[in-house]
Amino acid sequence: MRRFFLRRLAQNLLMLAFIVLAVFVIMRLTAGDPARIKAPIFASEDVLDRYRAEFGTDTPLPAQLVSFLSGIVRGDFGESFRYQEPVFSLIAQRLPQTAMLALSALLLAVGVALLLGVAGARRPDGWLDRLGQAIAAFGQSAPTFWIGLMLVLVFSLGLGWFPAVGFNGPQSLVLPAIAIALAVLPADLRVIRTAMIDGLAQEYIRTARAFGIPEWRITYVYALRNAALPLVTVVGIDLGYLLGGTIVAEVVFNYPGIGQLAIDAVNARDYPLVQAITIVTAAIFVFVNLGIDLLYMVLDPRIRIEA
Amino acid sequence: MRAPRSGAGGPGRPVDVDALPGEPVLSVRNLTTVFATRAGEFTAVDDVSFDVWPGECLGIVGESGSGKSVAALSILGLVDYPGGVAAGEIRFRGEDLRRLRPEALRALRGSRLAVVFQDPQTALNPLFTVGRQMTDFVRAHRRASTREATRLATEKLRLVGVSAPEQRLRAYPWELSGGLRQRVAIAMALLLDPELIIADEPTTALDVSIQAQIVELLVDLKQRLGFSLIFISHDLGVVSAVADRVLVMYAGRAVERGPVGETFAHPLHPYTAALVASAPTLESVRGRPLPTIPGSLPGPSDRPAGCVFAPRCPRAQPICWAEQPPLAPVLPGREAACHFPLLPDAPATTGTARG
Amino acid sequence: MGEAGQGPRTDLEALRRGVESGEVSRREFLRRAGALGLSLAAAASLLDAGGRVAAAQATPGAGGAEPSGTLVIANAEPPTSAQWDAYSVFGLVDAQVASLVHDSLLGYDSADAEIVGHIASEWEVTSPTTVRLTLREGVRFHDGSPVTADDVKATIDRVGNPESGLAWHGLIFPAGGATVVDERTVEVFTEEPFGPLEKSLAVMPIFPAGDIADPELFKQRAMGAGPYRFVSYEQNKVTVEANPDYWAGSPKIQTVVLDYIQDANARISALLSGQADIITRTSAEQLARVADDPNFYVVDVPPLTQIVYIYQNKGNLAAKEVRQAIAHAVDREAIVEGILQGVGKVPYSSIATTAPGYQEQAERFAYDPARARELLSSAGFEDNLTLTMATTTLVPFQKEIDQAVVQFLGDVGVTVDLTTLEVGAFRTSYNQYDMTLNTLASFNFDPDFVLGFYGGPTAEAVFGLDDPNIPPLIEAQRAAQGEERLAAINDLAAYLWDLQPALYLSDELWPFIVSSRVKDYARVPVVGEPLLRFASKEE
Ligand SMILES: Nc1ncnc2c1ncn2[C@@H]1O[C@H](COP(=O)(O)OP(=O)(O)OP(=O)(O)O)[C@@H](O)[C@H]1O
Ligand SMILES: [Mg+2]
Repeated sequence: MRRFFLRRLAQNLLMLAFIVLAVFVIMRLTAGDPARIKAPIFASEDVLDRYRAEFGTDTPLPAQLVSFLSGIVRGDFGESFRYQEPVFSLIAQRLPQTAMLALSALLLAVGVALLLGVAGARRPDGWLDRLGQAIAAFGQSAPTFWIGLMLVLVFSLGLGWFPAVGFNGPQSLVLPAIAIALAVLPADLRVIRTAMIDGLAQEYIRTARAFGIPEWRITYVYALRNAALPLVTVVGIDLGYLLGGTIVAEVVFNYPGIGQLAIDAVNARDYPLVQAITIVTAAIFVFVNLGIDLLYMVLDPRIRIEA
Repeated sequence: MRAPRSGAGGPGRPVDVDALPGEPVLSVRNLTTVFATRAGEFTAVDDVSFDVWPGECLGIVGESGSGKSVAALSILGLVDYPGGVAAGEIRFRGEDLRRLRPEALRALRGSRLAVVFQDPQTALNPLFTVGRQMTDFVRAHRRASTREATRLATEKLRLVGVSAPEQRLRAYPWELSGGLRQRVAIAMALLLDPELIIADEPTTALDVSIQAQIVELLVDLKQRLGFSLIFISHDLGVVSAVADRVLVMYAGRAVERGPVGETFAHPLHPYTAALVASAPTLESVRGRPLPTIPGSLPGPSDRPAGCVFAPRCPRAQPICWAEQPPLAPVLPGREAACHFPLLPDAPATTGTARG
Repeated sequence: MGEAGQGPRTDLEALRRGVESGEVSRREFLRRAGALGLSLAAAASLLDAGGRVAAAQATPGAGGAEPSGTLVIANAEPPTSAQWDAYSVFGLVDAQVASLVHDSLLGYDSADAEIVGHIASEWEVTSPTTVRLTLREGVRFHDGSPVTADDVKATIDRVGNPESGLAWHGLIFPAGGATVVDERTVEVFTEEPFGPLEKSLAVMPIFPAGDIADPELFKQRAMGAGPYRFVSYEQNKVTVEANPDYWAGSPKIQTVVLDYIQDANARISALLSGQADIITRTSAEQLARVADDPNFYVVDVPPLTQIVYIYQNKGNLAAKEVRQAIAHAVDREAIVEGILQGVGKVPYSSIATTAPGYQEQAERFAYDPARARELLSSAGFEDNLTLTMATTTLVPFQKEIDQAVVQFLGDVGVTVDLTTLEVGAFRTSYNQYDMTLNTLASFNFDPDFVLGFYGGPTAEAVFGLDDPNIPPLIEAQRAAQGEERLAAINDLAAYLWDLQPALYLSDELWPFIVSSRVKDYARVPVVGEPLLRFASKEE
């Protein structure tokens, strides 16, 4: 099992290295000169050259790659072209904000999915089940940005309950988290409901009942344990949606997260920033997925043996 | 010793054809369990009554689908949605389980009233160790430390003949062999010294060689511990080895009841007779083609107005189609629901209609 | 509150404020009021009615109440750089920061865009290449040190140095420098005559000489002598706070936040929810959201901003007839009305309609497809001209405008090969396409800024244009003064109009939507916010 894990780790680190290289190359192959983007169109070549020298984009590609890689080895991802700040400190400002938003959305989605999925599994076609299906259908068909706009219109501009944009404390998390959660919820709900129906139909659930295990324990410990594996899997898949949804929500709600930073960085061809954001995001993905693999083993003893 | 007391018994006093001394542990009266299906209501258990006396083993036999398991689950109050007990009385030690609050019923299950299910492979939770499951079950009823619960579990495992019980407790069910698993399941049932154990086909899923061991174990345990047992099985051989009395079910109805030996030797109901004829004995060689009962169980929509067995019965008369025979005493200690029971002295195709 | 900064009333109020703060002399007040079209008597009575002539001599800074409140300006873009060196950047927020944090030798105090003395209390144009300025006493940088002649010299010398590589060099200030005459007198000179000099001096921030000696300091903060002090730049927000020691008196609003809100809907939401007080450079869609809403008003005083199709004046577009044909083929009025929904202004010359010296040319290049076809065939094209165009989302409604132009050109038999690019790619590679939409904004309220693009290396690089007649015309208007200069500007504009080196579609109006809580908000036609210090905010 240890070996299995180490092998996965090595695979993932290799993939990460590949991503690092790919993002370096892709950024530079994509049309767009950071100096020209920074300067107005009428800027003279002198000015552009000055910017290029400042950015270090005046040297040949191999030299840039070498300095980029040697930087990484030293843990130095460079300085943002636009913010003239080490990219790591920029990411350090934004990442916790995004993580907070994404986690709130995930918790909200999983929480609601659990509530409604369990209720729906216990009483298929009951009113909670129907409510869940309705919310899921809505979340599936309505795009995040539109949901975001509607939420702002109703709860911010209309009722004045929450701020429309920006981040000024936990109340700023509510609307964007709902908008993101709605995108993730349908899959979560479906998975939890199916897994719970499956779980509750297991004979060992009947055994547990026959042995007088209280109903809440049966639902939330025994059956849910059965749903844990698919749930963890779907949360792993959610991460992709979460990232996409978070970027959209950050734009719609002007939430100061890494998504907006990334969009601006790409638009400005802020190579060091784009590279660092990609690496950090990819690393998070890799490690979360490793964590999920680990969780699998914890959750299902049968996998431990097979591995 | 078994004095017929047919029809006797005052209010609150269960009625049985051959009541043993004392009170019955379990007394089921007119149990009717219904499923609401898309096609309509389906009566899986139809007006079934029986008693289980202390220390007694009642066998329930019948074709697949005849309602044996549903009857057992009805007693436990575990009939799954969309089913439910529609009518009847289930008295356990005099207390009507149907009137019990859910919490009181829950507290009863697993402590005074325990179950052994058919397939230990699926009946045990693959995600928890044997020990975790057993201690959970103990602690659903008693405030006990993990150590106390574990000690109890170890003791019961030893009781059912599991070697190295401490080691088994740390194992997952799927790490054990089939026979061992069923021993574990029996040990679970014994955890809190129940008064009644319902074993629903506890041997069906096992290898033939192991079946006999498990049967022996149950018989032995019953003798030593003195609990009552409801033993559900297709296998008439096994039932005759374990049970004192037997209840024969067909299409949700109780069609015959009586001491196991007499009932199988001289069935009163044509269905029982067909069952016996098609059954391999414990000693018989498996694989030999068995005579089968012609026809099949009636579905929910084609239940006849009269006797449920009429469509398949070689002795059926017009009245059988028209009128449903009640389960009634035919011989001392023996009951059958048949207009024309197979009386030992009158093996004719004609009989006297009663009622 | 209708349109602040639009009518003479507001201008007059600004003027009167100037008098009150001791900034504008009585004589100057009367002169300027005259310029606004008031009779002298009326102007005098206005002043007297105010009864504040005596107060006009009050000490600077006698503004009254403590500054209060926080004003949030939501922009669609962040600063282009975190290096607070205004001379190296051309961004909206860069200019906002510069105008708030820094002060300049000359400046603007009123919506009529009259240039007045700021760090310089008096100035005199002593030759076509020289201005002599007297520095005001008591002007201090935010660190408390006085603004000296040396600071002025260091600042001007740097931007006047052709080797500086500064973006502003050559555009806002040409080769030149400053000489210190005495402690309080400076002479700013240019090597060639430079007509826009005063307008440039009105937007050129004066830095401490120490910052210029150590440009690393620009990375840490912006430090100037302006009405607001730089506080922070975090999470795309620039925060500045009132400088109570500003020589002309403390601004009225305590804190100003220059926020960046990427999404147009989020910007309007911020405004409607009260999280922002002003949103800048809005579109017709956003204007429609607040139309008839008494809680908001619109200020549209744009810097000189032109929406143009940049041509590569070679290959298929080498012939003037072809370019003129396009001008006739494209219905500019229809685009402004239909797509920009009226938020634009169709020009009939080569400089912005609001630029000093703007005159409509006789040939209007009105929509005339028949004429377009004639011109095309005289250039040898009969339904066989194909042009390349790149489109993106740089200019508001760019995709729609580009589509419309493709259609108009198709109507006269010109095929357009349209490529969609991402903004960054577009900005880098626009000059590889025959025509691309862009905006050209002037940072110093002088048409010279944009006219200059059509001569020299910029013309070559941006327009693929090398017309030997243009540089002398540019020189001529730079060399001239006053009315003569306006005439020279028109000469150049007329020449370019006939030449059609670009398709000048419309002016950009820069409508700012302002919350009614903000009082006395006004703008002058520059990119920054020099008049913000007069605004106040009701809480
Ligand atoms: N959840 C349910 N929904 C609908 N019908 C059910 C349900 N459970 C059982 N039944 C029906 O009740 C009838 C009796 O089923 P039961 O499981 O009691 O039979 P059995 O006698 O135990 O058969 P076997 O020997 O196969 O275990 C069957 O016809 C079955 O289809
Ligand atoms: Mg069964």
